[in-house]
Amino acid sequence: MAETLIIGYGNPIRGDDRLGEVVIDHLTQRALAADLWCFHQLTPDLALRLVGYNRVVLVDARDGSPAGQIYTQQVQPTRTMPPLLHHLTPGLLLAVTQELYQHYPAVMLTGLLTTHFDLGAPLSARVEAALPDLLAHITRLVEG
Amino acid sequence: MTQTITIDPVTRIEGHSKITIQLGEDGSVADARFHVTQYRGFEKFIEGRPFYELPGIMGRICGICTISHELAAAQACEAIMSVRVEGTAADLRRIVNYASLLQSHALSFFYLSSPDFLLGMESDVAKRSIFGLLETHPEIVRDGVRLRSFGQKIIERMAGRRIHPTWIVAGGVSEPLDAGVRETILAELPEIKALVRRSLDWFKRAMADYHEEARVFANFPTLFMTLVDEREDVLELYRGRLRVVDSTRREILADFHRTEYQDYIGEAVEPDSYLKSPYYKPMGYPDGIYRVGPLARLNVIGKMGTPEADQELAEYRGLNHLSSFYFHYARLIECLHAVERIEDLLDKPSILNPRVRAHASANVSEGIGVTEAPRGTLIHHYEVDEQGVVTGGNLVVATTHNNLAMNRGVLQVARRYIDGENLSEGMLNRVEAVIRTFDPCLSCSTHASAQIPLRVQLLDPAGAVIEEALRG
Repeated sequence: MAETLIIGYGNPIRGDDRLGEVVIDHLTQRALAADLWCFHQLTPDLALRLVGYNRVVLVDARDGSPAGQIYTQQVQPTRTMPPLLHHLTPGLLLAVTQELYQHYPAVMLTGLLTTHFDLGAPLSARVEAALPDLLAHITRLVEG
Repeated sequence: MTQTITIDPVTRIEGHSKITIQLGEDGSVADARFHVTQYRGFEKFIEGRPFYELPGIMGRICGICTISHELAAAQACEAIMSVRVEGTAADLRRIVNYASLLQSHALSFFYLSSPDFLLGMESDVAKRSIFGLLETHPEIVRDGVRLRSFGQKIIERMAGRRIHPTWIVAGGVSEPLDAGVRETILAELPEIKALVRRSLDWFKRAMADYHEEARVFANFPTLFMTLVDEREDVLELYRGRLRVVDSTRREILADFHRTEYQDYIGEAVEPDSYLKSPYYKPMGYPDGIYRVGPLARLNVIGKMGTPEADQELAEYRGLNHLSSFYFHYARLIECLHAVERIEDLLDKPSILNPRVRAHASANVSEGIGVTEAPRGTLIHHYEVDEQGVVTGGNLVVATTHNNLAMNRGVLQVARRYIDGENLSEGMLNRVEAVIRTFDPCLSCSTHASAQIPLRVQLLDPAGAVIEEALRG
């Protein structure tokens, strides 16, 4: 088990929302000191997956502009309830992990801004172009 | 003056549905209906696809019942191939099917319904969810998360990924079982069995506080249907004969091969719902109302077929088998059975056999597959041309079998709890809770929390809003 867990998440058939899956696919080709997982969405049972890792990096496309810009934020635990049980926010996932398992990993959320989430669409050109920079950024987060 | 109350959307299930409650002149409930207002269309858009693609395509119907759809589709494809999958491949499929049942039942019982049992049907809606239980019952949330995760991990370990795996194929499975995976799962089983046992213990205690719900939650005579083993009178979730029993559960009305399902099951359509309304054909529509799923399975079969689950079944037999409230109890008994069966199957020396797939082309023009999904009997029926290209399909999904019973259950609960003069959220929650006992899967999953916006309107006969309540 590595010290760091990287989770890419998103809907693989909704345009740039497949960014998380694409990033994990690329990272599997690199000798990164991290365990890699890919999910459609964050669910309560993922809290168990976080147990044992000191650091967790979540990768997701975020609705915003300019398209292709990297964003990164430290995730803080939050008790704000989601409208759907199968769609936790990163903050709530961390809160569930802390409260159920008394485990307190450092969680970073990173990815690219975009507005392209059309059903069946491929990655947009701007996100595709920004992918190498994002991969380098994640590598620095893990190795730094 | 007559009024209509609309619950839209129904919460802690997913998919687009609503409930309408019609009040009479005196404010009492005259009628109530459960409407499913979304449309998927898989029966239509599989037309033109090669039959062997169907397990992969049909698994996409649902993120929770993926395995069930893949198994039913694969069995239908194997009927088209004139192949019957036996031995190790069938056993591996059974293990994954039990894992699917565990993760689905954990979702229904712990995530969606346990807040009602543990916090109360009329407790603060802002906290009546699995996240509210974090404060009051973290140990139960941990058990729910663990049980669901265990089922998903078996699927992931054996089939490659936990949602939409492509391991179940027409003719068997694509990969044999790895010996290390077998040992890992076996090592975790004692912990999971203990988890299920303590869940049974607390739920049986909790049931004592829900006599009234047990009395009115879809508690009425219906027929019951499930698969049963082809040779013995025991529970069979993967493949078997279909059996229908009467409301006393003592008389077998029909026992038939899956290819005969259209002789016994009719499919009515109502104008206010995209959910079909199947009925037992010999009794006509709507008198041929029946139920499927955990409650029905326990009512139809003679034995669970595993020792600890059979002990629980004996206790269950002392309850009112007509009340849908006991779907929840039946789910936990099935979880115990699933853990026992997974252990039995993994202990078989043949389970590591590498020969797990047969190959064949289309040999006949029609195939029917039937399996027991977590929510009940699942039927996939395909027709193909000479090249094996799909020309038609029909699905009868577990939730649809229960449509008539869910509608009658909504009416029964509404008549007991709805007071047209003084609407409260707790009254409405009970109307929704009777739907949750059936654990309907309307699209891909069933987990909208209590925080989703809910609008309730009282309308006058002309449709004007008299009173409106919003939550979320």
